[in-house]
Amino acid sequence: MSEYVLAISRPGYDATDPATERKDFVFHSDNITFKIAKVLHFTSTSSQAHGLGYPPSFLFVRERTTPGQYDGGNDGYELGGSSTVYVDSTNVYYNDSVFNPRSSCYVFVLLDPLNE
Amino acid sequence: MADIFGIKISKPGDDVFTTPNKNLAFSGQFDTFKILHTGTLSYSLPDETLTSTTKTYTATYTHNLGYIPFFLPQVLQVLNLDEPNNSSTTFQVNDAAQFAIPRGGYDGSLAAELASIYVTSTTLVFEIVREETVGVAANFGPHTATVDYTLFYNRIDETFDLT
Repeated sequence: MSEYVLAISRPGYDATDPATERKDFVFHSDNITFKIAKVLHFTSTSSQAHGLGYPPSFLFVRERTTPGQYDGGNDGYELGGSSTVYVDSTNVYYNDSVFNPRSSCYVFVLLDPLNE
Repeated sequence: MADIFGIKISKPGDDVFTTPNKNLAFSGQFDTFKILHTGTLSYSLPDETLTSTTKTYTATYTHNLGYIPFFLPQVLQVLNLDEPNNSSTTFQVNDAAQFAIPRGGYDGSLAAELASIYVTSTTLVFEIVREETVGVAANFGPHTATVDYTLFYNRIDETFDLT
């Protein structure tokens, strides 16, 4: 631990107590907190530039066949297998499923690099 | 974006004035994940034999946020490797989050117990599907399917750009 820190503990935990575990801090400056840079929206197979210059961390959800229902994770083979989201240092890519096309996919693009 | 006011916190040893945003411990310019609720959803599945049938069971948590919130884990058609084998072993979905069934099944038949999680503007849904699709009776055992989840306040069905 560094000499100076900014630390915020959860209610019921003492931020100044060395015994307080790191998982019980809402924030601790010794650790990077995920920073959400943008949310991108896809409606079909395509790519969008993220403008960060490195492959960013990302998370996503896609609309199911029933409108208004969103799930996460890549399609298994039973759902078509070809649908996925991936990134490089330039773009976020969305490949919609050939067999089970989704009408909508939202992607959290994080400022935090995947490759550092 | 060049806001005059804001909070930036660097990691030990980094100069907060020159460190790239990606290396900051925190920056008020960007959104952060805020946990609304953590919990466990489970369903007690019955002992049953299915032939050319699909059955769906659900357990839910009502959040009533009025928009699509982000959630974890990302679980889509996770396969219970113990079924259909009349198993009484608990299906802990977090332990199997990367198992998805191949199209057509492993041996040409298609009988499976699959778990997914999805969210609506009001509800987080844990869905278990049992299916037998080729007309060969499959016996599914009585057991509990369960998943530990985290639901966030963060809205994901709305685009923004904070860079």
